[in-house]
Amino acid sequence: MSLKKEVYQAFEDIVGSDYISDEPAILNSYRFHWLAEFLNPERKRITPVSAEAVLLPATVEEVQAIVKICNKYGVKMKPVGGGWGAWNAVLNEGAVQLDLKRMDRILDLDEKNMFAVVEPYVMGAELQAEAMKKGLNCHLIGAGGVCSVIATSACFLGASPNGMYMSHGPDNLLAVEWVTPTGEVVRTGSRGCGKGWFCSEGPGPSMRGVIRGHAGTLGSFGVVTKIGIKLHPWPGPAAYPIAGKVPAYTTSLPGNFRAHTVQFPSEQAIADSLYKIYDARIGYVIHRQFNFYGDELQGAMIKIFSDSSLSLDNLEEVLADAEVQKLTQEMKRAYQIVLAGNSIGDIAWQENALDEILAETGGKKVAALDTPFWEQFTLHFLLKLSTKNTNFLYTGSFLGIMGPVGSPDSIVPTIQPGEEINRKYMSQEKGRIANTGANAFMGTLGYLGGGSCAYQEQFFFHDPADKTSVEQGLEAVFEAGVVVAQNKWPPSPYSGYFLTPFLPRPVQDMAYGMDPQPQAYVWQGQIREIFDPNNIGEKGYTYLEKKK
Amino acid sequence: MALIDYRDDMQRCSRCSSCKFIPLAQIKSNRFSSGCPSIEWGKFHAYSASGRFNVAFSLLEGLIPYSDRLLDIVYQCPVCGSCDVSCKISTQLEPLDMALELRAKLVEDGQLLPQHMPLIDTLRKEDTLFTGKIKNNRGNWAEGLKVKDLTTEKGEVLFHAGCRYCFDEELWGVARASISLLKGAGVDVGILGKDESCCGGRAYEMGYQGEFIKFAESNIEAWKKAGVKTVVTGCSDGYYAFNYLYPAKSGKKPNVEVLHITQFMDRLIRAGRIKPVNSVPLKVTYHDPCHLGRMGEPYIPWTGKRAQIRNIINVFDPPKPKRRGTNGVYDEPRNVLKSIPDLSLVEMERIREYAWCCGSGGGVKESYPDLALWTARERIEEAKATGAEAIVTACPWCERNFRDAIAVTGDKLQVYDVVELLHKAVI
Repeated sequence: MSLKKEVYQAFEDIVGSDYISDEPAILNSYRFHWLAEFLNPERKRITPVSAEAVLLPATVEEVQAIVKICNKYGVKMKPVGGGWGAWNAVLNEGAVQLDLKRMDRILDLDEKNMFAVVEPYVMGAELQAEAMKKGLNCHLIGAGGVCSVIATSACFLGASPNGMYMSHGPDNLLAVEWVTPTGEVVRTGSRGCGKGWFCSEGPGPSMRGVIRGHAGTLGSFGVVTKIGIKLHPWPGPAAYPIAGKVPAYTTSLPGNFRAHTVQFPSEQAIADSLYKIYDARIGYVIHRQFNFYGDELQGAMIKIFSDSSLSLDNLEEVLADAEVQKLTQEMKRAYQIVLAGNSIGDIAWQENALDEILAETGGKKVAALDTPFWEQFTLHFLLKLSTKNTNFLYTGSFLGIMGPVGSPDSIVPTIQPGEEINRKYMSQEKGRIANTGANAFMGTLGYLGGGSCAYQEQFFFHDPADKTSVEQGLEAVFEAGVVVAQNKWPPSPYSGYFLTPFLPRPVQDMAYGMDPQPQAYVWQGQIREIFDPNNIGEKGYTYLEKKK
Repeated sequence: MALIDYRDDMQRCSRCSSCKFIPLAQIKSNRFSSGCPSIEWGKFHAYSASGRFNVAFSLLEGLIPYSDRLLDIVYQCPVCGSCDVSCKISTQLEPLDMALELRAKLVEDGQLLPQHMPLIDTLRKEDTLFTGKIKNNRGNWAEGLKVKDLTTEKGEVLFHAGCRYCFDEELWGVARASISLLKGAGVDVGILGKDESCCGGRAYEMGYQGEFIKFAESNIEAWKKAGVKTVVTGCSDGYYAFNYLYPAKSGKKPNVEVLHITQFMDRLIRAGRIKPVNSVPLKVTYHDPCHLGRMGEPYIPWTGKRAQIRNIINVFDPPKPKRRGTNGVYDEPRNVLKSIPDLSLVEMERIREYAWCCGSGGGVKESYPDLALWTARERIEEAKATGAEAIVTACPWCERNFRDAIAVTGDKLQVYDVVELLHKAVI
């Protein structure tokens, strides 16, 4: 199905002929996404449908005009920023893709009031670099610095290793400029009354929940074209120091920064420590990061990442090293914590507090990683989040299961079932899931409001170029979903659950219906009907069909 | 490897978009965060390395036809390797090699970019891509230098000028200065003059692998006949061709040491054979040529195969040497600059393995001059932001493109080659 000529012309009149295309080579390049292999019946990494056209608007006025044309002609649309994940793609026939690449400016960075104003294609790494020059830092989503700041705060999820200090992505959202699904431009909060970008609330009801919905609306509910975003203190150098040789970059931060890998005798002890850390209000970053590579491989993997002469090809030989084996054992049931002090006294206090917490919970610092070299490596990994696409190193893909968000105690019961599922798929005959060790739980351990709750996801690695591998991955996702439902754990927005908006409507209704609070999804559906009466929003909006 | 050999990797690209930026850890500003001239120019995702993975897969699967737009997508790219460095921070994919094989497939399938035709025609007839030039004039740049003719005499060191230095009269001074410095240092240097041929590197980058192999074989034979132990060139493209493409892609390893002129000069300065004594009071910034820097790593032979360990983790067995920009030629040109009295060197934001390209490479200068000039203008802006009075480079293609860009903008920024400044300091 092609766009009618007059519709294409209407779009071209808005953006100009250089910035619209329906050429197959262009269109097809927007179909390749992480997890597209799960949505494609042939299990290839390409979405089942193509956009009819791709447009590159440059201004909010152009976006507004495009949305109005979509409403006039009943054309669905999906905006995309950085675009990492299948939810960014057009998944409906007859839809257009709005690539927001030309909207890439940082419009303001207010040092005194600690906020910035950004457009959709400003990536976290760019904002962070600019903010650090002013003694500030910004929230970076767990997927790292190559993600759009707007996408990660206004449109999708928002968990972060620096959530401990900077809270959840949407908590950092200030005023918003939003093109509604019908093409109105709404400016919320202080911006809406002409007072700048510093406040997200008012006048009238907060619009943040409407715009974001549950875990973000994944580009299916209008277009956010500018936001004010909170910035946070950065007690480090204005020019972030890089050391080491590519690809093994590291840093050389001063002594008011410390980083530790702390190990515990059990998952419960991990949970116990987190409550104490929340109460003590220490930690700039707290994340179960390295375990992502699998509890049997994490020691070897950080060794490889830290040495520019090594690569994944050297994995088996590195694993055979006795020191690495010892390190691997010591890293099991562990997480990473970064402390950033505003003074020598402050960092000393935080260190003492951490030591007390560890003593009270049976934890200990992994001695082999408590060296200057490994501290700087860990600091760099977690502060910059510049290598989070190593998630794809093993096989080219991965996905998480389990992954509820909640109090640390509530996560503990999900760990063993997650390990069992991974173990099953890793060890079965003809297993096509990477054998990384049964426990590959990763998660951000400080979340809403900084501290207060956590989430952990069990990761597995399938190969998108291997059909059997993709099928086994899907089986694992559904199996985990059944376990979650049977135990009445809340479905996680971070696990296979974020594929749910793209599955058939009956499956979505079943999934959201299992949530302990299904009414929230009904309301969301009603909001959607009000704001998007012509249904131009593409797939990605999470809602429950209201029962008649 | 042929394009089909990258098919599985095409699906393993996750579309993280790292290829569009310099390594994230190295980003110092919003203004100079991008690493890829192609995506910044073309804007649509297809113009990125990830996009070309997608285009290549779509072609192999028969999902898209050949088209003029497809050719633009493939060729509006200077194959500068920035995407390769950024991607390989975290993966084992090969965006650059895949892009080059995609070009080779287009040529093999007869999908030829019209702008390339005159270049290839001249290459076949006159041993150079420079249209309107003839081989007989190739040695004119060296007139009056009294440099050894290695077609009739033996020598230790062969200076390969390269097509740009041979046929761009405005840049002859750099090649002449190179010879002057080498001779002054007592180096037994000679040239092939009109019998010198193109390195073939640009032809390889444009997808004409067969042509490239002919030049590789011919040049290696010529060096053997001349009996030289060392081949030194002032052209970074030539350095890349001799140092890497010849052993890696032609199947023929030159039995000589290959050096870039800055490497040789650095050596001679350290040995005390070149003494920079004259003051050159200038504030400069150094532009790392892609083919000398991140693509200037030596070739390490490897024979092995793909393997899967631990069920499905994709590796190479035995471990395959990785070209990630780690061991490119970055320090020697800087060492030479730092040896010049009163010259001060300030660095741009994007340097070394994550330098922004000048825009000349991959056939872009000839085929898409607007893109080439735009890319150079971006680099000029970055150089100006340092407060430098001059941008210095180590490649005639970079120098030419910067000069052309400045001629359009009227900027006051001066453009030099490292050798030019060293020459001022010595003679």
